[in-house]
Amino acid sequence: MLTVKKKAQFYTMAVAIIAVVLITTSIIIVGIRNSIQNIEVSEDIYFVFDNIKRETLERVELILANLTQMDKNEVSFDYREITRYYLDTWINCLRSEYENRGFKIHLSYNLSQIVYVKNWNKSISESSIKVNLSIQIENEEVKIEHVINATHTFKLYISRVEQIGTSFFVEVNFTKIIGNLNEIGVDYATVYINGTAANYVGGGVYEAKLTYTGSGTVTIYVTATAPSGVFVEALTTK
Amino acid sequence: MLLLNRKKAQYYTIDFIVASIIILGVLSLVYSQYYISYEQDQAIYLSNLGNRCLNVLAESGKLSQTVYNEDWETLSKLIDLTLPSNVYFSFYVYKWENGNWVQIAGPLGENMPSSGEIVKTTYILSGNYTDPSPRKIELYLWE
Repeated sequence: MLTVKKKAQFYTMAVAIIAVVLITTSIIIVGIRNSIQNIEVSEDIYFVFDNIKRETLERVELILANLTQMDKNEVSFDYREITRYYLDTWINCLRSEYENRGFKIHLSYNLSQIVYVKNWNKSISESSIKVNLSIQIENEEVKIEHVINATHTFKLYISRVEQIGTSFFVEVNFTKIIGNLNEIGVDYATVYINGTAANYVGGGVYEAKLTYTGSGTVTIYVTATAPSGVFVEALTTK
Repeated sequence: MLLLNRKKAQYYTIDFIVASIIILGVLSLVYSQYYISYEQDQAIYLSNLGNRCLNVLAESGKLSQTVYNEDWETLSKLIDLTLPSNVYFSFYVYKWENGNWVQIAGPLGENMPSSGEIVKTTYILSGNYTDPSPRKIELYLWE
């Protein structure tokens, strides 16, 4: 009788111990799960650098768009001062953001080396900006440094005007050149020829058919909107 | 004889306790190591997904277009199309104003869970012709 009682005590104690151990283990596991809910994923510095580079080039394009627009509106301005304002705002923004995220970042440019030129004759519209920027970013492990020669050009010209009967066939070429990447971008541009949306035929060429209703000189007026919203125009008479 | 059996039972009990503790301790350790590694892999996977999603939209010009037009519905749809169906997202948009980020939208997308693993990725836009102030989009992802 006593042996049976002892056995019962033994099993009860064993079950109690197992229960305690299981509960303790569960608490440990839940604790581990909760403690690692906010895992720090170290940011890919190459991804960050690519983003900064791409958006910095976009910023230069934006500056060119604004300078072109002001020039077209015959506003007098100091292009270096405007460029400095845009670049300094951008650099402060990047520095504030990425230093908070654990990166050391340094962007610089030489103001005296910034060049803006325009060439607007009768049938061509061209504006161009050249900015040399140094971008440096580093974390505990990697340091990336790159000097960007950002040369952006917007070029719009009327390449062909042909009269057939009462119609004019007009061909326009619009290119956006990003000097740093030696890349010619023609995407997203919307070209209007005398108010008619032109069809994109490839290779930066747009064409439209205009109906000739009167006599005498015909003025052909072309506008293009680039991704950044730049407004360039070309004019010719026939 | 009874005393001997009692001693034996005590030894078995101590053996049992020690063995249980060792086994469960080892299991906890193995589980925790595996779990941390699994969670880290998941976090990196989500982070890469977020980066790629924002990159694709930025390169196509859609990110800038929707953010500067404040077309949050289209942006949500585009993000949704770019991500796998089992990944959920929420995002905030900030504007750079007087040297600080000012929130202009968010949270948009799904409701963020109060617990679980959430990964954040960020992209900064340099400006737009109509508004040269930079914008920041913070994308939160979870499964």
